[in-house]
Amino acid sequence: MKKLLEITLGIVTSIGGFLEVGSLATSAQAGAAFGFQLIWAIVLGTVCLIFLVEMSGRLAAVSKQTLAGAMRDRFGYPFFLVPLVAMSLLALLVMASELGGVCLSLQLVTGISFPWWAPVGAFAAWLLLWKGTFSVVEKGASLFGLVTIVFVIAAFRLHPDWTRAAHAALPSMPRHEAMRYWFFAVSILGASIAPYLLYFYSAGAVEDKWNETDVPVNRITATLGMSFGGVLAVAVLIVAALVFVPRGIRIERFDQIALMLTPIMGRWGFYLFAAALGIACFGAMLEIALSVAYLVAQGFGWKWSEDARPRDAARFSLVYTATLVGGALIVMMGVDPLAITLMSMALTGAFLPIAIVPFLILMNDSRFVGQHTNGWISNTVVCAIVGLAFVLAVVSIPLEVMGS
Amino acid sequence: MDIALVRDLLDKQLVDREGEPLGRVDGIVMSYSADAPPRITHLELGAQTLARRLPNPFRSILAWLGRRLSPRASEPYRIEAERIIQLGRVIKIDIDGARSAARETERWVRDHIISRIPGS
Amino acid sequence: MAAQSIHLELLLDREVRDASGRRAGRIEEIRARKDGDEIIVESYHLGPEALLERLAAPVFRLSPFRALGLHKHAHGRRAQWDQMDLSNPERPVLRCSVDELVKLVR
Repeated sequence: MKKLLEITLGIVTSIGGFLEVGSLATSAQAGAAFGFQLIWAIVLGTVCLIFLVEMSGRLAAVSKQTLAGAMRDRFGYPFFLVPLVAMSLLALLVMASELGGVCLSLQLVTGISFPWWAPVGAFAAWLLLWKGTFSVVEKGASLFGLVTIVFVIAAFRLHPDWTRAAHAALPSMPRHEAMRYWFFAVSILGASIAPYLLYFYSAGAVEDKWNETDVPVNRITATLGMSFGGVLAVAVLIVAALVFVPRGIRIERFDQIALMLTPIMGRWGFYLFAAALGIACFGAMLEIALSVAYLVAQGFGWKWSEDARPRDAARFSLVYTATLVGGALIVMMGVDPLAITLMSMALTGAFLPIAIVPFLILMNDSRFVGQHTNGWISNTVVCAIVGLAFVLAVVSIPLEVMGS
Repeated sequence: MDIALVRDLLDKQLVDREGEPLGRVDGIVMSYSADAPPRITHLELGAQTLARRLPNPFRSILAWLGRRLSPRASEPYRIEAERIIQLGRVIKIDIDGARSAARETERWVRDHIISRIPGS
Repeated sequence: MAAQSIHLELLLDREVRDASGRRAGRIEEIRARKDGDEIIVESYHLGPEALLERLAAPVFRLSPFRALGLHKHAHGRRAQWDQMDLSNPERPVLRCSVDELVKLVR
């Protein structure tokens, strides 16, 4: 019975922070521009993420170290700076995107222009981290995040051609606007395979004092939790495809995406979209701020603990505070939230090898994971998908930047 | 007992007597002479130690940052090798962490920044 | 002779040559033994010269690449403590010739 409860909690906690502004924006744009065609990108991204999250939990359970700590341990000091700096800067951009999502949802509901909401959103997130404990943050964000199920309901209400959707789970070549197609593909991959999730997940596992007996349960929760997130993203894509394509709407701005539920649910659709967007992005903000703090604190050996009072983990608290402030500053500069979201997702795809290759080396090193080293399937799948993301990013990002 | 110093000591997490984190092994100092095997004398922690491990020009930039972030003229913090209680996943040191100079930066941040914010 | 204080972490990746200038490898690992309270250095492991080989070694041990047999490529040598002259730590020199060092197989 206790195990069942543990598993359910694990799945629930895996949901929050998965459907966030990145998945939402990339899936919606992909659906509006290419119909069902890019479902395969979501499938690939989700599969890769499942493997990676499972590995992250397994590393924590067996080595009793977090991913960041294990990286410094195994690769030593100058090398560790490379993933540290790259992932932190990237996280800052993604943080700005998520905060942008929260601000947009507040703008949708109140009409007050979104940059004004940035200090409010950042402050609210900061307060929750400052005063809350890890479990409160994790579980709260996830439970409220369940509002995103509204997209699944909407997808069913539209009676899509499920066979066609299933066929789209296999990769296909674009019939028009090839460069845009591949740019969206890599953005979707970057949105699904978020490195910050891995630092967050392994830190949580260590703080919860996982051990080897938790490895099988971790496999289940990682699979079910991340799959659910993938299902949500596919639902968003299907709804976008069936709502925008017949109307010939091309998504250029975020507030167009906000209307995607209205044809199906009327006025309620609009408010539900705002709620789903705001809550999911808020949850992601918390996770990203913590992830950067984990990366830095664990890499340098400082005390890190979300449960501890800020004064007992001073530098750790300073880092997540600084990350939130940094994100807020970027949003207040007035950058276009849709553009920054898409670009940060694509850049994530480009930088994935920096985060993932050291991780894979760790997962094959018995000094860290003992008997539980990766099988050849995990290694091959992750290498292939990350390799694909990298190639796509290197090819499509420059062209997209030049084209716009 | 056989130790691989780079693999098992350098960059590893240090904890005090109570298991609380002290930092990481940023440097290892040994006493070298031509006619006897070198002996490890100290473990070293600190921004300066880390800065020296970087190639120039990063070395100078980080050294500058390190002096700004640490309250005093950030002398590296040294731990005598005799204080090592245990080698393993973490390195346990015979030190009272609460009063140790290793935690100086942490205390400084706590007293000058964090405590000033309500609710800490 | 007076003892010098040397920082181990700064010895890493330093190139080691013998008296005639032949390359022996780069310092990759330093092995020691714990003798009661003391930690005494016993030997230095020297790794391959080529940067690409050294960076690639851990990657090649991953299973997709193992099949290609690439991981057997890297090699190394061991220098005992008395074979290494560190009086100038920036330029470690062997007190013997390269051929006298023990070869290590990965």
